[in-house]
Amino acid sequence: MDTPVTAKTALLQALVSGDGYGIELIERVRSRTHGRVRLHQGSVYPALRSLERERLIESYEGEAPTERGGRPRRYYRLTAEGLRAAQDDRLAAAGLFGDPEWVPA
Amino acid sequence: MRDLHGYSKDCMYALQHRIVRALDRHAVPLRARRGLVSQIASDLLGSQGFTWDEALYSPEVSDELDRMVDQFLSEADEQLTLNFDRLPRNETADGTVSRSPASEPPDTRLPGAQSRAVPDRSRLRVAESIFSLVELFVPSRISAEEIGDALEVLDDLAADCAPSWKLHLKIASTVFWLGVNVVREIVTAALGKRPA
Repeated sequence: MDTPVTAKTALLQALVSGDGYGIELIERVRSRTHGRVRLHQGSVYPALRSLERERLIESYEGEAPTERGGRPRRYYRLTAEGLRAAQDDRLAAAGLFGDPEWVPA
Repeated sequence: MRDLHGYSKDCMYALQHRIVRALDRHAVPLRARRGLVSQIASDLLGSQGFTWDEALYSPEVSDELDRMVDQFLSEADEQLTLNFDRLPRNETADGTVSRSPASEPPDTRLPGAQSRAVPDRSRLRVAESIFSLVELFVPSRISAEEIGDALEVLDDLAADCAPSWKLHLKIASTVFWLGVNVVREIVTAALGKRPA
């Protein structure tokens, strides 16, 4: 079954709680949705780069731990425009998913 | 019967490595540490097809686990006592500030673990060789990000004593998606438009 949100939406929401890098954001989305939304390598990096081109997020290089073979982590953070987009997404999702008359079967 | 005894030695090292890494990345209250140890041990054994009960019925595993947990908790009490008033400012209880992202991370492993090699790093040499070759054909920003992340995942898999096929599958999928993502970037740049 498809996940209820796109990779870009999920990543924007994950970045609201703080900066993060690729696999950290994948894990953040997985844990916050209790495994319901699982992002993978084929969608995360293109989505991050697309969000950066849209100026909703920006990136910077972080530490380069030994297990990465000296390659620096690339951290992402929300821009002001990205934060507004994340809040808009959240309001839209609340309108869609937050039906007060819905009762689990 | 499966060889839990032969399996246990390497994975006890792996277990200790994972616990210390977990504590290094997250502030774990003392009272939650025993639960953390049990959870990580359970996950680790489960990934190899063993059950927690099966492990506890093995005297070698259960004795070693008890000994390690006791040692770990006593060492952790001394070294990692946390002051919850200072945690939001990223400071430890003894007044030392945690490492900054730009600095080289200190070796935070316990004294016992420091004398041992990190388990199964040798299994990652093939991955590093393949990725070094692939890197020649990929823009540096993309390769540093995606290959670096893949190596972190592979390091965790190796520390979990994951079977070789899982490592090989991760290497293959990384190379595949790296190629796809590079082509996607080239097409996006050539068309001069934002991807959907």
